[in-house]
Amino acid sequence: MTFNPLEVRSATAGYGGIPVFRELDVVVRAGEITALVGPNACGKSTLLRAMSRLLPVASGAVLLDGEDIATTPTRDIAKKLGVLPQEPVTPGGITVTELVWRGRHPHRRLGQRPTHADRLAIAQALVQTGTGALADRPVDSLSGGQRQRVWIALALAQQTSTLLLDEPTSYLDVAHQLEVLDLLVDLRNQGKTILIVLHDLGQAARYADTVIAMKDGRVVRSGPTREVVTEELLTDVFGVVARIIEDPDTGSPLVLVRGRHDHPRSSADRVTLQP
Amino acid sequence: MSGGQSPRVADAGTQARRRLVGLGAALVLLVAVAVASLAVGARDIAPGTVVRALLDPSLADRSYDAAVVLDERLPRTLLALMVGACLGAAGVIMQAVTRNPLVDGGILGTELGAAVAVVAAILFLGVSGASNYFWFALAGAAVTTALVVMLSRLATDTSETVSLVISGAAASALLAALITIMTVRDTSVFAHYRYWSIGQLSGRAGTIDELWPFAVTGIVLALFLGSTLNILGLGDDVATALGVRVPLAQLMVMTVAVLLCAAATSATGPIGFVGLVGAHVARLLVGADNRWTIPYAMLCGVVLLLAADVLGRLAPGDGEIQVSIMTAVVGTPFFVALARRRRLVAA
Amino acid sequence: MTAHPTVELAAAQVLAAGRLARRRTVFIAGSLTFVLLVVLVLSVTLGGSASISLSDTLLAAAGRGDGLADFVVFENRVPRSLTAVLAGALFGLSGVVYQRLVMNVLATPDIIGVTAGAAAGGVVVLVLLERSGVATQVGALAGAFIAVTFIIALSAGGSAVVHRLVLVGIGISACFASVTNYVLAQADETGTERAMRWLVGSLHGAVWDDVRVLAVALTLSVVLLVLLVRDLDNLRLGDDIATSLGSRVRSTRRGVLLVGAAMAAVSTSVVGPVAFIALVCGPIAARLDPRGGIFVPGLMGAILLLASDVAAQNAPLISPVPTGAITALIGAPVLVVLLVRRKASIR
Repeated sequence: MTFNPLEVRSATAGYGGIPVFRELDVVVRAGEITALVGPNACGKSTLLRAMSRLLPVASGAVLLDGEDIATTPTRDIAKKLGVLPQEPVTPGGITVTELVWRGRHPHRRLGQRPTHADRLAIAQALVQTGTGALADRPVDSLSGGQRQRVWIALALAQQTSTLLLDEPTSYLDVAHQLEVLDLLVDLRNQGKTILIVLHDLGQAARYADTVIAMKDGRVVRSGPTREVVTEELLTDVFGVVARIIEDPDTGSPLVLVRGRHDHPRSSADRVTLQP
Repeated sequence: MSGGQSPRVADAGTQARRRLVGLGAALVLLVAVAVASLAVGARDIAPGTVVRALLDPSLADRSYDAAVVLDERLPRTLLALMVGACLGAAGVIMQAVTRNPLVDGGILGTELGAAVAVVAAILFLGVSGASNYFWFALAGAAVTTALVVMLSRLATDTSETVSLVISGAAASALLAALITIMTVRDTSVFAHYRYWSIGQLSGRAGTIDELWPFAVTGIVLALFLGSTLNILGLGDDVATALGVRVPLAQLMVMTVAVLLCAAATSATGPIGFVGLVGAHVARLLVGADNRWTIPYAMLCGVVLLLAADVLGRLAPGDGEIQVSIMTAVVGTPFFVALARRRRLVAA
Repeated sequence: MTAHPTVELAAAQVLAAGRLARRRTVFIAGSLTFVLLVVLVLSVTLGGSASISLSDTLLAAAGRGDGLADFVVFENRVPRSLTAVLAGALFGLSGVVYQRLVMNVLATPDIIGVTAGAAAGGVVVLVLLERSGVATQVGALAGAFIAVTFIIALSAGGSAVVHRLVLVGIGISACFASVTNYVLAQADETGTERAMRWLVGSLHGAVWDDVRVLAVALTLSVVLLVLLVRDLDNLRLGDDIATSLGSRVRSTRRGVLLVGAAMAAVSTSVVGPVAFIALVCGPIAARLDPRGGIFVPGLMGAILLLASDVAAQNAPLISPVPTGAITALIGAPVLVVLLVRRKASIR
């Protein structure tokens, strides 16, 4: 029986004794890009942290390949699960190669000389993220997009089958956002499982295979993108009126949000907002 | 989605009432502690005698107790008044301009810088006299504060709040070592220089005569800084948008704080934590409006200093515990409790 | 974006870069070891006032001299030099691991309260119990231990642990400093003199027992650090990334704190709270060896303390002077230069 790479069963977690979500059930399917979306403070970042063992769950369990992460040694988890948190801290003066080397930590013993496997993993990570040319540059001299790719390279050097990313595109300009998202699609095509927290629903609609929509600590809807990203969902979860059409180039749902000043063509198209 | 409640505006009446109550309480405490300061010591004197001595100074010629009160303890209490007010005000100013609730003249090393400058002046330049000390203290305090602020900007990867405190601690460590080194060759005179590294009120009352002009200048200037500090507290960008020349304002404000610390340190040596605790208590009583916080902090500073001094005199045995040691003993748990508050540390 | 090489080519580049960095480390470590040996020989032949011929010195150092040469060299200079080497290495290492833990160059055991605890403990024994030698060392260790316990207990839990740790440490440091001041204030003249000498830091009177204690401490610490240092490096990427790489954040932090404190405590107990070695070794080593191992800072500390000791005993005009004075005189400007030249990044 094959397990789902990541599963959350009836989990409750929060900060300082106050739960952010209670008894949540989530399944992340293998080889897909799953997007976790929702308004601010819905619990999506908290959920990601709980799934990556950065935050212990108060009750329930998080299963990684069928095993409870609470009882799995953290090093073993590190070989299967890579995480890119929001706004990672860049220590001063470190070069790209040195940073990506850190990704080999779970695989290296104490005092072990660098192996060919290590070097290959790093090289592969650099090439995949297109950061090979930046290898000797200090990380803090790079642009936002380049830096984000370097952090992804670090996670890739871990050679995990699953990757969790917390809002990796938030502070990037448009071109860099696309670089990162296109890279994630490449990785998915290679068979990796990717869970990504996104606050831009449009990006989720375009790039994700599965969407999990959360609000107030509950999962409102979860499933294939086309089924989840609907006009009702936008109203229920985000509290906005929208029209959804099919993207003429990609076929994925295209979200057109309607504000107070946007009048639809005919009254028949108008969706009224329930107060 | 809007349509919720509009923000509650603090009732002006309630605030004013709180301030008055706070003021009343502080004044009552002040009187109590001042009387204690006059009454308590190696020789405990009844409050009645104290009051009579204050009302009729000529009593000093006839009564030994009255002489002690008037010639010894009264000047000491007045010194505490002056120094406590200076340190309290300096604490508020420094916290406001650095937007850092953990600093005061002691934490930033300002007072130690003043002390080192004075010791160096005495040892190498043969300077004497409190008013002469003051100028060296001012120079030392100014240089140290400037260095600490610059140092904190250079440190990487640490939050600004913590960085400033660390820089102050590093500077203090260096300065304390400097004082030790300067006096170690001549330990027979360590007792003479002791109060330049261990602040104390005993035997220092004579300095009031020469230092009060500087202290009063500083205090008066400080009382006018309230609104400037309020605007600076909104952040550099907002302050500039409101038309304030931020670097100039910061410099001016800090100069007053340095002046206050220098005056206090020239009198008694470095006494820490009075500014820190005084500023926080004042804010508790009166809110964050610096026009009120500064005078209240002066009051609180005086009360704290006097209380620490009285406690020090109650120590078992003949001697007393120097006031700066008492303030450190009491102030440290306060500082640690402040440091543990989560909101503060997550910079 | 330029065309990128194939994976194998990239792997070859990674290999080459790694080799280069490793070679540099070995070169630097080798050079420093050579320098250390030179200074060691200088120290043994020059140190102190008795003038002994070179050949006699070397014989005595090997343990085969007799008479005066043997006594002075073997019982006196060699232990003193070795003490400097070992204590310097301990100081340097404790400083650099704390700097990396907190990611601030100013965060060393001196600032975070360990050394203040050790100083207070030592002074208490020296002055109040009037014992010296081993008793002082035990006192210093006890004081440091109490300080670290407070610091760990008060800073545990919640987020931003490192920031809270630094702030609590600074508070505890102030508290222990006031204890030291109190004891000094109570001391009579001889007590004061002994305390001050110890507080400045001096290697006078180092014996073979001291060397043994330090050697054991250094060996144990290095073993523990080698186990901890990889996880410590991961911590610098942030708690989240470190956890996701499989490091145990809390236990690494606590381990580094304790080992670093123990190193600082043991060397302080033997030579007193020598200023600045802990502070400057990290930044200097970072410039020489960017790879950031622990051997280079250790060697650096050994060289600095030893050289300072040689200077303290032999430098014209100012000697003899306590070694701590020299380290402060050298260390302060070095640190300022390092900080000003480049934002001090700690590897």
